[in-house]
Amino acid sequence: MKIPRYTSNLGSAPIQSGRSLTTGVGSAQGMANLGKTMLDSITQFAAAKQEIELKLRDQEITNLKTLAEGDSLMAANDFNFGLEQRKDYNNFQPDYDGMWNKHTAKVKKDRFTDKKGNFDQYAWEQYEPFHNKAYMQGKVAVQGNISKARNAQSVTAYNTNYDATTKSIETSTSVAQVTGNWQEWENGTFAKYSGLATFDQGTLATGYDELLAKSNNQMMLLQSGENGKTPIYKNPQGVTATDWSKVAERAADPTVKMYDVQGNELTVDDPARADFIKNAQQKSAEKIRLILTKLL
Amino acid sequence: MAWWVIPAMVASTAVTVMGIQQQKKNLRANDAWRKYENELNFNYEKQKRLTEEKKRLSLARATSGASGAQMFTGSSLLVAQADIEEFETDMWYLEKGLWTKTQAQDAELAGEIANANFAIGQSLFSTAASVGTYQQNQKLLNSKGVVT
Repeated sequence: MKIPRYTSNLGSAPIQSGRSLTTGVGSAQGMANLGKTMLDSITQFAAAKQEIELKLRDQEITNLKTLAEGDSLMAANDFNFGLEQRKDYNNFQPDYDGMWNKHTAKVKKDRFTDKKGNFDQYAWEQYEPFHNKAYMQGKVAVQGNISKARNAQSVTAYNTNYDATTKSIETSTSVAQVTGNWQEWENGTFAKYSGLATFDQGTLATGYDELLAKSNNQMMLLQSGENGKTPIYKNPQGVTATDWSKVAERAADPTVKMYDVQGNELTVDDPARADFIKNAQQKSAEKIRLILTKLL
Repeated sequence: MAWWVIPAMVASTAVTVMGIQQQKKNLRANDAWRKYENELNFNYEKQKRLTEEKKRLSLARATSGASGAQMFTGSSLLVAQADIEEFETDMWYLEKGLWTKTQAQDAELAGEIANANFAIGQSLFSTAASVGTYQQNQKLLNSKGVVT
């Protein structure tokens, strides 16, 4: 008799949990990924925030610079505009520097200091080159105004002196007086203004030529008479007047020697003497015509 | 500077590191379970073979007894010795199989743990770079007078 026996039917390796080495790791991977996503998001946010802050700051500085530059240009312009009525040109530059110092303090306070009193050093440093440029532009304009004011005074002084010299020459009664007046003007006034950059040299050259011509005319008039006296006569009204016919006659006489105010001899055919003769003849003819008109 | 940015970066990294640490725990737990499973299977296989061998020897003894031959003498002894040696060889291989499997699993675990550690290092480096970049940009902003 065969007794039935138990026979296992599990086969080999019956215990199979199905667990691999990485079973369940996925859930923890999710947590790790969450942390990574958080970091990426925060990093992106921080970068975007900083970029926006930077742009806003740049725009703020640009605005401050523009406003402050406008203030400075206007301050320099206003100061120069106010100089047009002033004559104390020696005070222009120190007054400008004083004004600019006050303006600088005002700009710093109004534009670059907040309500809590914090000074924006960085923005100021960005603007400062423009501030200095505006100062220099204003200074150049101030120097221009100084030149104008000084020239105006120089021209006035020159004109006064020129008129007085002209009168002195025209009323000179001797060759020595004419020569003296001319030399005084030439060596004094003319030499003083000659080559002066702040004085118009064209005006000076014209004045020289005109005064020289007047001096030479007066010289020739005085040399046209005998013994250095201008030929004169008394008209029917008893008034003493220059005898232009005599003047013209003697001026046209080659034997009569004439010299200009600088000691150069003027011959009859010298342009200056020829003009003088012609002028005297015209005045003589005019006088004769007047007399005839009265007689007829 | 937004005060919370750097702490948030650090906190997010902590979440990542915690996740990876949890992964390492899972890996070690899985490894322990698999070793336990291997040992159970080994012991089961061993017991099964021992039982079978015991039955075979019992049957051999009964067969020999019924035949009237004297057991385990002469040629029967040689046959029995050969069977026993073969059985022991199988058991040796069975045991070595367990050892080899365990070693392979240890190597696999070490690789996964190293991978997780690299991931932690990568996360820390990434955070340090982000914090450094943020601080550098903030320094630039502060130098331009940005107050935050």
